[in-house]
Amino acid sequence: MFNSFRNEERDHPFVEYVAARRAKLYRTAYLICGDAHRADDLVQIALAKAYVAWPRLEQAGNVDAYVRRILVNAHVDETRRSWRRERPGLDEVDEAAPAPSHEGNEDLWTALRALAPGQRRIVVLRHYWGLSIEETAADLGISPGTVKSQTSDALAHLRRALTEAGTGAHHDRSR
Amino acid sequence: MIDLDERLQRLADSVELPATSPLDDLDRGRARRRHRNLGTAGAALTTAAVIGTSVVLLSGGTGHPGAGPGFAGGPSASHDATSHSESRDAAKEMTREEQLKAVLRGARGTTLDEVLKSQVLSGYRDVLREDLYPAGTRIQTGPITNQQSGEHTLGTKLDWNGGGMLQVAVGRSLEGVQFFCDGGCTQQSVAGATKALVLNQPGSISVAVFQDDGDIVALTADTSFGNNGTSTKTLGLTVDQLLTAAADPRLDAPDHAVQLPGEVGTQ
Repeated sequence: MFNSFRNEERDHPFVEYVAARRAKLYRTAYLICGDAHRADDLVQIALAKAYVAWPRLEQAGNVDAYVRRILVNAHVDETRRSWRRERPGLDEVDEAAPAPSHEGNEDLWTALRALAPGQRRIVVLRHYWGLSIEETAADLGISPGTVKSQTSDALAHLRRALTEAGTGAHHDRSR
Repeated sequence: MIDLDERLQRLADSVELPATSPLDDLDRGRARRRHRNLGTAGAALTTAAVIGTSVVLLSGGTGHPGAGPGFAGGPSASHDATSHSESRDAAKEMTREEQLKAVLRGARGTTLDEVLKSQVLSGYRDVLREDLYPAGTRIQTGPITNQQSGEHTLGTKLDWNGGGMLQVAVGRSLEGVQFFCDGGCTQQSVAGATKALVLNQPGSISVAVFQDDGDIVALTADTSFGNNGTSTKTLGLTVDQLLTAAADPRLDAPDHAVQLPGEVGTQ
């Protein structure tokens, strides 16, 4: 399968990384942005940039962190970009994407979509990736204090939404 | 009580993954690296690439691949990718002086970048006129003043049918061409493309076509041109017409139009 690499030192390990981690990166993007096409775009951008920087990343041993940071920051850029507001004929209301088909996850999906984009990114990094407050702050380029307060607010929103939905999910975690 | 981490993991695991190969990401990475290398090339190489761009665009924008000032090959009626590639090869036979004159023919006082972008957008407009309404009376014919650009993306908004709008963006990602489905797109097929998305809304049709060479072309036709405060009663366009136009290989992403000497055919 991998016989056509012209730059073995970069291409082969890059492809191995993508094969191993793309699924998780895509799921991260999908949880954050809620749209399959945009999620794929975010992953494509992150991996293309990672390829360019590959020798440096591999040497530093932090490929996951780098790719993850590019991905979430590409989403930050996307939500701020001015041209997006020029979309002709499209409703500015962010309609909820259909929930992934899995019994029992619709309420969490709805609650997650109802979070502000920034809080959603923090929830995904902390509770899907399992990052610490400091690691999450480093990924997003914000202070640990902001991560703590946003995490607290986001979890309060989620608990309220899930309690109202009758599922009563509870999370108690301190790191 | 179920831990949030566990529920989030289950939610993530239920997400359907797109059918994609790691080799596709490798291709995109290589393309990005080539573009970066182009940006840091020496002045002579950069100048050569820029000159090459203008020649390619001048020939591609007239609807006759290979035609252009100083080109001896003559016009061709074929619009397929092969003739497009051949026109690029032939265009490089122009002398350096002829190429420089072609570039400098742009408006005085503007930067080279502005001239090139203007040329590219004119080329897009010419292609769209040919594909959507060859009589040429529906698409804006005057100077193109609206220009929108981003990473590997270039686009514009043109008057359509006397008050409506035709927006075109050509790039390398849906994010780049600012095409957002928000759950409302349908997927269709069109020749010359690996995928095509359609978003139909009252008064507007939007399509995004993933061309075989990796470029993504987004077209939106709207009965109103919001910026101008004008509108038209009907678009006079169908989804199929927009899809076919967006699949036209002559609509190239900006960085595809720039090639270093000797790089044709390499990846």
